[in-house]
Amino acid sequence: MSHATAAAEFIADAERTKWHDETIFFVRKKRDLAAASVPEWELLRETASQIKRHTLSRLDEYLEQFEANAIRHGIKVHWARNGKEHNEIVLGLLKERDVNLLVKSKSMLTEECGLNPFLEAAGIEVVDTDLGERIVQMRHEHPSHIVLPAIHIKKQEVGQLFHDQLGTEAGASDPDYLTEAARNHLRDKLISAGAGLTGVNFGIAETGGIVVCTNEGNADLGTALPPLHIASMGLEKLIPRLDHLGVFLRLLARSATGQPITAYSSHFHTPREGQEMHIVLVDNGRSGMMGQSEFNRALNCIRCGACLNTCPVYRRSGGHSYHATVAGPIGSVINPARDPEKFESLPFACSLCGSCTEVCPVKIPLHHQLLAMRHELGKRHLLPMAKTVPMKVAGAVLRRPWLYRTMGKLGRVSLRWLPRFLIYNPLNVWGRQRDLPEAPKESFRQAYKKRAPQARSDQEKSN
Amino acid sequence: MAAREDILNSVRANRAANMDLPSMEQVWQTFDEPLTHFRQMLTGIGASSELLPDSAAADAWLEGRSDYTQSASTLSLVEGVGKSTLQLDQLDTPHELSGLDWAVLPAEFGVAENGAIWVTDHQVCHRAVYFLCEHLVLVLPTSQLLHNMHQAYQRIAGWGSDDRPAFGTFVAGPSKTADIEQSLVIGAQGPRSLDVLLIES
Amino acid sequence: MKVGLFIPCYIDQFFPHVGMATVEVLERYGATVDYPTGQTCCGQPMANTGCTEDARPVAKLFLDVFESYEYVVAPSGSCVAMVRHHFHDLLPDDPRVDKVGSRTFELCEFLTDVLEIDSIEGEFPHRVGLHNACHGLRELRLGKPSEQMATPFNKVEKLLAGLEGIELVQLERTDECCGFGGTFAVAEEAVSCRMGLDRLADHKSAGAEVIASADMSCLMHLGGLARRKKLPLKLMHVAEILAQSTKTQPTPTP
Repeated sequence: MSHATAAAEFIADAERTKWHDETIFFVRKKRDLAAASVPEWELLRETASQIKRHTLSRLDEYLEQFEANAIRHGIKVHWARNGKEHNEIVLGLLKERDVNLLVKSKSMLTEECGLNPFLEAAGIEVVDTDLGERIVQMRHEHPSHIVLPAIHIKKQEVGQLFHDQLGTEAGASDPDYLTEAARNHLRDKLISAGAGLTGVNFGIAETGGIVVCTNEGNADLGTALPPLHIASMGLEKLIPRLDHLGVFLRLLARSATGQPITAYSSHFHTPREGQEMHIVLVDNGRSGMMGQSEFNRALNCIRCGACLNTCPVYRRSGGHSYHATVAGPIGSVINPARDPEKFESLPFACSLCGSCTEVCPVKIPLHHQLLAMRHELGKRHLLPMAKTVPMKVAGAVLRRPWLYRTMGKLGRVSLRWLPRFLIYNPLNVWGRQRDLPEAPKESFRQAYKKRAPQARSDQEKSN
Repeated sequence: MAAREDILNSVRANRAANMDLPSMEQVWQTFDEPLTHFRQMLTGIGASSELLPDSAAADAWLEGRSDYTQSASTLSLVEGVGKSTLQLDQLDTPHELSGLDWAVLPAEFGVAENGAIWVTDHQVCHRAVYFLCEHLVLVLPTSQLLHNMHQAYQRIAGWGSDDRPAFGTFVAGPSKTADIEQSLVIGAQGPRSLDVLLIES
Repeated sequence: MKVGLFIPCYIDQFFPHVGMATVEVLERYGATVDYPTGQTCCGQPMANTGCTEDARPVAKLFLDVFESYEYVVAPSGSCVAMVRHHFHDLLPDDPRVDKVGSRTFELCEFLTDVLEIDSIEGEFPHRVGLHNACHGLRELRLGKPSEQMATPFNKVEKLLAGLEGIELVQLERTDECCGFGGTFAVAEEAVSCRMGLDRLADHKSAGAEVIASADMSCLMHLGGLARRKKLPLKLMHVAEILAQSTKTQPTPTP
């Protein structure tokens, strides 16, 4: 299903669309306030951008450095070419240790790899411990936002879900009450788990350590209790040095939710005593994308979600309308970069307003990339005829001034004389909700030609 | 190891355009009154702070809280501040901490710009205590206050080397979530409260 | 000062009065306007749809028509952004791209930056909501976008604010996209219209009688929605407001 079709379905519920838009725009406003509190905000963005671009320019060296340092600290490092290999590595680690219950903190990478269904098919109970992720997991859905996974769900729906599955009171929808119920449920799972899996916000080449940022404390509990910690990490999460974190931690939470920093920014460098720690480095198309010079800056993304929050299309179409792990502007670049055929409609789910580019803390030129992706699809002949045919016609007309003049006149005349029901026919998508402008009798060029020659010569003399 | 070589080869073949690392020596944000700003940030992120002259005053402050004195299970790793009903290093597993009401723990330094407080497992054998207790109290000398995150990373430069602690985290407030309709709820899976006892020094 | 006037295709066909207002304002402030009739379009509709090959000859035609002018002015931020920032992608080897690009201006920035006009004399006693069109704002930097942390400025607003009696209303969202977006308006019709209706509601609740913009394409979309809903809002291009605000000549500067 194309984004436009899914978006139209979402928008059909006008009240919900308004709520979704306003709730998420509120997060954008919080971001603005948080960014404004840092005088050197724009310098931070530029610095972060350069660090990330530098890293991609010698990622192979940093990966080797990272691996060597991690091994030195007793961490086991695995490499996965794709999602399947990643999932098999994780399953192997769990099987060897007879783990029946895995607790996970937020990881868009494991969503991308489809880890949960893979492990569940192998008989392992998987519990997402971030509240939002747990909610979507219980609903058998996917996150609709990379930072706010359950942003599309109303509290009444969470109340019903928890009533059904956690035994909360019928009709209860108070967020405090529901969060308390989830806390008890999730703490039980965290305490009984045989292994904890986390994502990785940053991997530090210089130290071989990783940093995980959360607000709920779930990643910390999930790694401080069980005897096995697995961290799934995309190759692009690397940064060269420890002190670079000063830049990224100042940007991340402020961009994401408007917080000055997340409640916990945890640095893992060695397994706990009696614990094993494994890092699974995942490529899954990332190295290939590095070579696409027009799109590789999308790999600099730190997954703050600011581009989603500011995107007027995302806010009014919902994350699920993208049919992809990562929605919004960044998703509309990385998904078609990997699979252009499947995601051909995403670069067009964008009015090219450019707001995403302005909020991005690592300065990914998102709207330029979306435009470049359209050209790429055109080059590969992946654009639908509904797009190419009218543009062929327009191009043919607009390159010939005489034809343009004739067509313009014909168009205006027919708009003036055709009955309304013929103009506003079902094929006129523009006219479903919008009137066309009233067609004037003459075009600008005709009116200009007719200007009083006196006025024109006066003007010329006075200059 | 085929996967490792394949990935590294592919990364090598696809290196992005060269770009130098930027300098970290910039004019970063500082504050005229870092302590005041730090305390404002703590309030903003759902924590509380008390400015106290010494450890004895910190202890007295705790003793003055009925929810602390009436609690059945408390732990302190700060000498002279609070009391312990259990010994952390005597526990077989960190899971035994799950009923812990209060933990009074030492902090290394605070960061004025965002209210973050750096703690490690250097003297805390079960780091789970930071996250599993119901109420967390961090004790921080006011002399250990930095302006911004860049200073923070200068302070822990070399961290991650062999002789340093395995784990460190910036704690910024109690655990929280806004995953239900963006309504902020304090007390997610981790502690429900954070009190920062600032000892004048 | 001789100015080559570029009138975007949709203004030529549907909004000739905006073109005429542009001529009037430019001439009032001392520019000699020339309208080369060989012009058609900047090529943006094709380029933004990904149809590079269809856009290229149109862009080339633009350069052929305008390369000899000292200045090119258009009453559209979006078209100017296309010429200045995106012709490179279409014609990477054409040396005229840089030359023509750096000489092509949106009307308001031409008035404030080239003609160095601080304020426009005249009056417009109405409550006006300014619609900051995206490409003018974020690509041409006609103002500071709300996302950016920098000193605020806005060239369009500055020109309007100088008019006597005008009241610029405070919007809830100062620079959110109206949802036109070229072919986006049709390809994503539902989202596009929802965005436009939300913008109209913002202007309406801020008390605007007139929605003003430096881009007519946004106003065509917003106006189409407003007319269908029979909203009592007038949509005017900034050029119209400036031209209409006074029919008298400004005091000549000594």
